[in-house]
Amino acid sequence: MSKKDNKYLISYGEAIGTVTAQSIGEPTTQMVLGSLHSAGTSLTITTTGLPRIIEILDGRKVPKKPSMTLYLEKDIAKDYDKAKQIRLSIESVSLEDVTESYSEDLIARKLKIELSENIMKQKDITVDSLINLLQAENKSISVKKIGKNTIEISLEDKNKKMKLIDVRDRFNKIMHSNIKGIREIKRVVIMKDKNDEYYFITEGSNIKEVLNVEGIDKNRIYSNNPFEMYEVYGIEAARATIIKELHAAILSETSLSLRHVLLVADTMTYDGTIKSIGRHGVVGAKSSVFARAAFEETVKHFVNASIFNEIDRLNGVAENILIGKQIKLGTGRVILSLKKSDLPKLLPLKERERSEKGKEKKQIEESK
Amino acid sequence: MASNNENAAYVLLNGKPIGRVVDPLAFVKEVISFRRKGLIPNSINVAYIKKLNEVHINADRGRVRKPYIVVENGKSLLTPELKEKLKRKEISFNYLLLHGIIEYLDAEEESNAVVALREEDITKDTTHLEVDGASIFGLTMNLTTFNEHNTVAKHHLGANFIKQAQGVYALNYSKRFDSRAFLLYYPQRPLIDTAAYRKLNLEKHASGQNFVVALTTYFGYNMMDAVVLNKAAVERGLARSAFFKSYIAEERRYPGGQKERFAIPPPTAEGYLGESVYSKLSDDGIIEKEMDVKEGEAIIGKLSPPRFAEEPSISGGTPIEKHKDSSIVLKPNEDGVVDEVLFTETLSATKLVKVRVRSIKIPELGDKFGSRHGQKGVVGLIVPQEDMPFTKDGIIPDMLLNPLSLPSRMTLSHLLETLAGKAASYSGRTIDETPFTEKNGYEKVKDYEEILKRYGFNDMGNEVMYDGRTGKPFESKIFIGVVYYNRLWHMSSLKLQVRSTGPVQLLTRQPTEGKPRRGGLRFGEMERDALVGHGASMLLKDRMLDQSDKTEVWICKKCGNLAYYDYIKRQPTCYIDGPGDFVVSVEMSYAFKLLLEEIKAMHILTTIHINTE
Repeated sequence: MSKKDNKYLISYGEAIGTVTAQSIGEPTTQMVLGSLHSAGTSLTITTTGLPRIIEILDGRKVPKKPSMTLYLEKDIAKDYDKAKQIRLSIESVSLEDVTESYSEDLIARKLKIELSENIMKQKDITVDSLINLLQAENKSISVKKIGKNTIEISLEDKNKKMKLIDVRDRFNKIMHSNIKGIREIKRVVIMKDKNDEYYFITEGSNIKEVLNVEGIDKNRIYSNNPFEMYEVYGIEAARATIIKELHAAILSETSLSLRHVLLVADTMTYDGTIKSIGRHGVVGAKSSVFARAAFEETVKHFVNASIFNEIDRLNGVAENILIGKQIKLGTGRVILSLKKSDLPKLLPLKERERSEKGKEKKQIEESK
Repeated sequence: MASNNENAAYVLLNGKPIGRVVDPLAFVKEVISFRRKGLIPNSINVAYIKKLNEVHINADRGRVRKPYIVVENGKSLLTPELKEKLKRKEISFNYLLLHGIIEYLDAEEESNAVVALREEDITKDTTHLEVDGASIFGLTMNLTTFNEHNTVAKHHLGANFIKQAQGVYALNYSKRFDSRAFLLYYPQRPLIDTAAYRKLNLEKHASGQNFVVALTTYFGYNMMDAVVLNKAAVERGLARSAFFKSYIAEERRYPGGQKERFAIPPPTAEGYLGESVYSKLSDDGIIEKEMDVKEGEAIIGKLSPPRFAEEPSISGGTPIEKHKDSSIVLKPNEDGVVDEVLFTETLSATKLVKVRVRSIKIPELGDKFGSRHGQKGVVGLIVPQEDMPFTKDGIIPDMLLNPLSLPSRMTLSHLLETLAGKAASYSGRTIDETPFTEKNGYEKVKDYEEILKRYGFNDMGNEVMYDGRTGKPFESKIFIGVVYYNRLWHMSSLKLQVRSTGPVQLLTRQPTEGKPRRGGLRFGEMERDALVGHGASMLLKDRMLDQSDKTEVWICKKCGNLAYYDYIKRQPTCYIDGPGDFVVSVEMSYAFKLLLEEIKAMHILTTIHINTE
C-alpha cells in the first residue's frame, strides 16, 4: 500500500502547473484540427470538444448550452407515468406553442388566438386555466373566451397612446410568455439508468426553480453550469462541477490524468469564487508585477504598480527568468542549509586533516 | 426577337443587357452558325446560361480561349481528306479556322460544350473534339510524361520540380549576371519526352540527366525518401553543376558633390578590415578574372565619403577626410573563382561594376533530387562503386531508390519511365510519350518488353543483381532502369549554418537570428516552458542568461538605482549617493536592464533592493 502510495507522490519542486498546462494544451491543439467532424450532428444537448473546454476555463457565467440532470424521488423513481407528469410541470410552454393560428388587429389592439386542442391536451392545459395564467403573467390586458378553443386578448389602452410598433412588440411578448413549466428549460428528455430509475436531461437550466418542483429528488440535482452550482450550493459544488465537466470534455477526445484537472479546478476556485484562466482571473491575480506584465497589457500593469508602490519579491518563475536568476523550481528549489563553519566536519577524514593543517584551503561551495 | 414574354431570356453583350430573346437555344445556335460561316468574327463567343436564363455574348479582351475541332451530327468536321491535305501542307491551320472546322471556345461557351477526347468517343450529343488528347493539360504539365497514369497531385509536384531544376537556364549564361544561377555540367535530353517538350525546344535547355536507377534498399540509407548515389558516377560528373553568384557595386553620388570611389581602402579608412582582406584586389580596387576567392575576402574595394563633413581641426591645418570602407566582402560559406567582371555605367552616369563568382557544386549529402513524377529525395549516402550492386552485364546503378516510396504515392509513371528508359537506352532511340495517345498502359509495357527481349531481357526490367561487397547474387531480382532526374536547387552547402559565438543585436545584446546574420536558433517560449516543466533550472539559466545577454550592472544599495563604474577614479559610483562600498555589482540579463531604463522613460522609477547576507 505504501509502495503504491509513493508512486503517486510528486517529488519536491516539480513544476506541476507547467506540466498541467502542457498536458492540457498539447491535446487541445490537436483537437482544433479534428473538431470539424461533429459539425452535422445536432442531437447533442451539450457543447463538446474544444469550445466546451474553452467555455469552462474562461469561467463564463452562462454557457452556450446549459443542461441539468434531475432524478425523481426514490419512491416514484421507477414510475414512468409519474415521470411523464413531472416532466409536464418542468418543461416550459409558451402561448405560441399551443397556438394553432392567430390574427392581430393592431388598431383595435386585439389579438385573436385559435388554440390547438391536441397540443393543449398533451401539455395538460385547459382553456380556462390558460386565461387565468395569462391574466396573471401579463399586466393590463383582458382575456376573453370567444369560442370553444378561441380566445381574444385586448390591450387596455383607452387613449390609444401607444405606437403601433409598440403594440406589435407587446403582442410578441404575450405570445412568448411562459404559461407552464420553468421558463429556462426548453426541453426535457426522460432517460433510464442502470438501476431502472428514470431521470431527466434538460435543455436549459434553472436550479432554483427546480428545487420547488414536487417529485424531484433534491439531493441529486446537477447542472453543468459551474456558476449556477456555485450560486445555489457553494464553491465546493462548483469545483466538483468543473472537475466533472472539464474531465468529460477532454476525455471525449483524448486521455488525461485526473490530477491535472483537479489542479485546474483548485486554481480556479481556491479563493471562494470562480476565476477564469487568463487575464481577468488567475494570471491577473498574480502577485508579481513582472509576471503580469510579461503576460498581457504590459504598460497598464507597470503604471498601476507605480501608483500603488508595488514590490516584486521575485518568487515566481517568469520574473526570475526575466532578470536572469535561477528559478526556484526543480533543481533550483533545494537549498543547502548548513552553517559554513560546520562544513569541514562533513569532509572525509583525510581531506579534513589537510584542511586543518591550513596549507591548502579547499574551496567549499557556499550556501546562501 | 424582342419580346415582352416573361420567360424570354436576357441577352448580355460583354456583360451589358442589350435585349431579350424568346428561344435562347435557337438564338445561340444561330450566332454560332454565323460565326462558323465567317459572317461574324471568330473571336465572339456565345453561351446560354440555363441557371440564370441569360444569353452571354462575349467579345471583349482577356478571355482565355482554347481551340476545338467542331463535331456535327456525330462526325468530326476534320475529315480524313482534310487531314491528308494538312499533311501535304496544302492547307494551314488558319484555313480550318476560317472554314469553321476548328473554333476557339472561352470558359463560358465551353461549359455548354460536350467535348470528346478521342474520335472514337464521339456520341450523338458530342459538339466538339479535342485537337489533341494532350491539350487537356497546360504547358508545364505537358512536359512530364505518362500523365494519364498518375494522380493529379503528383503532376503538380513533378511540374514544380522542373521549375526548381538546375540545368541550362539560358543559352547566353556566360553573358548574364544573374544574382544567383545554376548551370548543369553535362545536361542530357530525356530519353522519354513529349511532343510539347520538343515543340518548346527544351532539348536545348535540358534540366537533368538520365540516371540508372535500381529499386532497392541499401542498409536503410535510402529510407524515408533518401537516395543513395554511386560515388564513381558522382566523380565522373553526375549531376555536377556550377553555381554563379553576382555582386554589384556602384559609385554612388551624394548630395554636396561627394562621390564614392572604387579603390583599395587605405588603412586609415574607417572600418578597415585588415591588409589580407584586400590583398587580391588590383590597383583599381576590383578583383581580376579567374582569381580564387574565399569567404571574408573583398572582391570590390570601395570608399564612401564620410557621413558628416569633418570639422576643421583645432590646430588650424586642413582637415583630413576620413573615408569609410564600403567594400563588398564575401559572406561566410561563399567561395569560388571570379568568373567575369563587368564595367559599365548606370543611367545617371556613375560607374557600375558587376562581379560574377563561380563555384562547383558536386552532389553531396543532403542535396535534393527529383524525377518528373513528383518523386523527390535527398542524398543519404554516397557509396563507392565497388560496394554497389551490379548486374551480370556489369551495369552499376547511379542511384538506389527505395521501393517503398512508390506504392503509397501511386506514381505508376515512375515505374513506366524506368522500363521505357531502359528500352530506349538499349535500342538507342528516344521514346515519345505524349499523354492520351492511342496506346494504353498495358500495350505500352508490352512494347517496351518487346524491345528489351531483343536485347536479351525477358523479365519486365527485373534483373539478377550481385552484392558489390560479397559478389553473391541477391535472393530476389531487382527492377533496374533509366529515369530522367533533375538536380533541384535546394543544396546543403547553401543552407548549412553554424554558430558558437557570434554577432549580437545592438538593442538587446541577445544573439542574432537567421542565416545571413550568423544567428542562432531561437530558444522560444515553448522551449522555455519545457525546461521549466523538467525543473532543469541551471540549464534554463544557461540558455536564457549565460549564453545570451548576461551583463554586470552596478547598483546602489542605498537608493536602489543603477550606478556606474568610474574608470578614472577606479571606483563604483552612484549618481545620487556618490562613490562607496554600497555600490555593488549585480549579474542580470541586459534585456532586463533595458526594461528598467525603458520604464524609467515612462516616468516610473524602479528601484532594486539587494539582500546581502
